[in-house]
Amino acid sequence: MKRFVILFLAISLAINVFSQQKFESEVRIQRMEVPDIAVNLVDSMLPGTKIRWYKEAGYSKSSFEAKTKYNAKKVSIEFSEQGIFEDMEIGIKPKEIPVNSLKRISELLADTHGRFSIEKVQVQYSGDPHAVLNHFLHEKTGKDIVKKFELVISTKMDGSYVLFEYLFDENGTFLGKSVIVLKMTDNIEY
Amino acid sequence: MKIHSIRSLILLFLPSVCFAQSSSELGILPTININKKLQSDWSGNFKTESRQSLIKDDFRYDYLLTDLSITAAKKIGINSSIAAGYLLSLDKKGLRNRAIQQLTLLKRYPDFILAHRFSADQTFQKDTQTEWRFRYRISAEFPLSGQSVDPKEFFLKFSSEYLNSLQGKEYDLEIRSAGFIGYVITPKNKLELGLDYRIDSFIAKNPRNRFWIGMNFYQSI
Repeated sequence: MKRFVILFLAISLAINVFSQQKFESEVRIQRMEVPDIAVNLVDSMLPGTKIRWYKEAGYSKSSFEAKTKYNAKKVSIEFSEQGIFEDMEIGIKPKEIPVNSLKRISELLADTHGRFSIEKVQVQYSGDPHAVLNHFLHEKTGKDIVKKFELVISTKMDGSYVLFEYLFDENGTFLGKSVIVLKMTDNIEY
Repeated sequence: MKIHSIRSLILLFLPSVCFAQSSSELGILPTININKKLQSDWSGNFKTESRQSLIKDDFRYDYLLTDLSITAAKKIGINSSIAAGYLLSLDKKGLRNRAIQQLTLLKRYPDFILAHRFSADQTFQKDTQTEWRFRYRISAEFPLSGQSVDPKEFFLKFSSEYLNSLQGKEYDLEIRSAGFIGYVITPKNKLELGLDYRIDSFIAKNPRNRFWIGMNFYQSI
């Protein structure tokens, strides 16, 4: 019985560690391979913009993603496998996060990791797709929009450098984090 | 955008080639590279490379050398590492020993990865003056599907390297350019096939052009 409990705990721990890692692979696809509902929404959001479509597969789910540049900013719009809008992410600079939110985020990261470096920041909008569209194109805020910040940071953990992806709400409240699995680069290093 | 980036990099990596009164050689250069990740961002790398000539003026097989190297590397940042190693080169003339030091900086762009490698090495051989080399290599890896190189996917790799060599009072510059098509078999191993072009001796003598068909296997353990 004791062995069974230890084995169960070990498997649970392994599954838990696995679920906290972020590993995504994506493949470039044609727009005809994407559900119409997603294509139509993107076309209405970004008319006349060159869109690149990807199918993304993670550990637990797969999704469609439209990527483009708009007003010199990187924009990606994610949809479920059925073509349902999930969120829109826009690349921003850390200083574009509201001061109070950035202060809370920085304090939490400093308390957790000590020294860290912000590698990438994205603002993420989810909720009603038309409200997100209005906000994106006309900067109209609405109740139906959920705004979050996604930060990729590099830091040291147990003597090794790691990349973390953090998610915060618009006030800088911690929502979640995952370790980013770095891909093999031996062939361009040696 | 990606095609434009690839085109620009090919032009950057392609050195000017001078064939006037030059010698040319074609051969094969298979390489096996094994990398072992250790604790606290240390890693060990073992590499073996065999150089064999197939054509030099006319078709003639000639075994040239085998290199065996071992390197210890330490990450000094999320995208940077320093390394020191030792290389043993076996050819018809005998053994050559080489000490290697290098600094590698990676830059991860949304569509490709760029690596800058700054390295120095010193080659010691019996009855020969020590050769000092100072090298810089720029390499880029482009996924052929998606935005990153994932398992079961092909990729392109381009590199260009500039080797400054000093032996006694003799200075030479060698330029290397390579283009490979690669395949990620699993997250821990990659296979590459391509052409590695090298030109040297063009400063003081007639240029020597060498083309190597490269076959590289990388295994992470």
